[in-house]
Amino acid sequence: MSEARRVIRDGLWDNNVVFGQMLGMCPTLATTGSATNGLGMGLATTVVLVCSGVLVSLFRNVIAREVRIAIYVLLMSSVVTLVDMTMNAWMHELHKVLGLFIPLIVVNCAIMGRAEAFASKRTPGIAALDGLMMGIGFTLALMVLGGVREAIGQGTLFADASMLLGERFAFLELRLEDYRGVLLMILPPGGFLALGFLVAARQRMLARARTRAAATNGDAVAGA
Amino acid sequence: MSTLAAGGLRQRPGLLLGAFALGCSALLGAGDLATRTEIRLRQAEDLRHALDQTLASVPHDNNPADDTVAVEAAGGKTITIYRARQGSEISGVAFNWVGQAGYGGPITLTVGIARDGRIASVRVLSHSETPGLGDKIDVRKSDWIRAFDGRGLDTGTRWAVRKDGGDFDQFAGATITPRAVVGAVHDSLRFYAAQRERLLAPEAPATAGGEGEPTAAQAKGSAS
Repeated sequence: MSEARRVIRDGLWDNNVVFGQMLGMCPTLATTGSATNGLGMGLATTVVLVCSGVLVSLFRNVIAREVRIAIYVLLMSSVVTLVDMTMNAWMHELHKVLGLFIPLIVVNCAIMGRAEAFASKRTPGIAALDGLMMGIGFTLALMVLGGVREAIGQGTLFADASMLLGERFAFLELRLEDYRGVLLMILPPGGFLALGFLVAARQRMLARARTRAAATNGDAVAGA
Repeated sequence: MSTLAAGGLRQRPGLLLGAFALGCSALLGAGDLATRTEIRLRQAEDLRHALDQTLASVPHDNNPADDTVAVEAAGGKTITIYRARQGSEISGVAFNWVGQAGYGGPITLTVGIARDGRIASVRVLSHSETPGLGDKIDVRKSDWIRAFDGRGLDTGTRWAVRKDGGDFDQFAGATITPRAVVGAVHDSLRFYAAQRERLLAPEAPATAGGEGEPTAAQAKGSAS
């Protein structure tokens, strides 16, 4: 149980793919021009993370060390292709919006990273949970990054969310009237800028938490 | 038994890798088989939808998606022409036109042209323009693309954006994208004018069986 909690915390915050591990920068920076795009990329990546985690974990006792990377690449690219075909066939509307991002998942080294660092040593259940949590953490990070860039860049939030999620989610779409936007934030440099500031903000929060923890520890020692 | 085999494979990484490659290929093959027809159907629906949109103002009583002819364009590209018919007379055509590069790469349009050489309707099929700026060429985001409706080479239209002395609006902060689209639509009209005889040749699809080329084109059109 405590291990599951650890995995959840790791994926969402402590070891977050984007802000903690700084992995998967290519899809992160390329797709976060808007919060909706970030959400789409995150969801597709989550599916692949869970599937590849379970597969790698299932075969962990069979895969020889010498060829493990090649086998992981095989498994992951197969999963990505299968997800692509499945979505194209049965979730066609969603595929039209996300289809662009799916091939990009293959270049997300976070998936390889989780296979190597986690799934190859654990049972399928916990590997699936790790994939799910890493995926959700990745999705949240991309949404925040996309949201910041979109809000500053063009004064909207979740624009076209209804195209991705269906008409019921049209209420998510916010628009600031009379705001011209800072184009730079939508363009690639804006991705680096926003990411840099967000990582700095997170580091500051962590540093504060650390000093606070040190202070309370000090009190406890002094009290004892 | 299986553990013995697995143990044996562990000693021979090459064989193990081969086994995984075989397994993944089988999986992908099965996935392809399972999704192939469904994906074809979805793509046919997309095509029908695109043709419905671009040929809406052209009176026709056939299914243009099934009435195709392949025409060679400049540069050796083959363009599939979808023909709308009223009775046996061709009332208009639609085809996909890959224009010159916009800001983010080539822009593919679906152009519908009525028999008299006027634009019936234009839609953007795919593009990678900047979200929030160049993507206003998409009819879901702005009505800009409807400005082409009813225009032709003989309507006295100046085929350029206003900045270049033409009749079409550019977008605030984005001139390259609309310039590319205007140029592409103009090119597609000139292509139509040059190929008019060939495009409007009234051979009916049912009687075209004797001729080799159109039949092959029809087979290709209905298969994709």
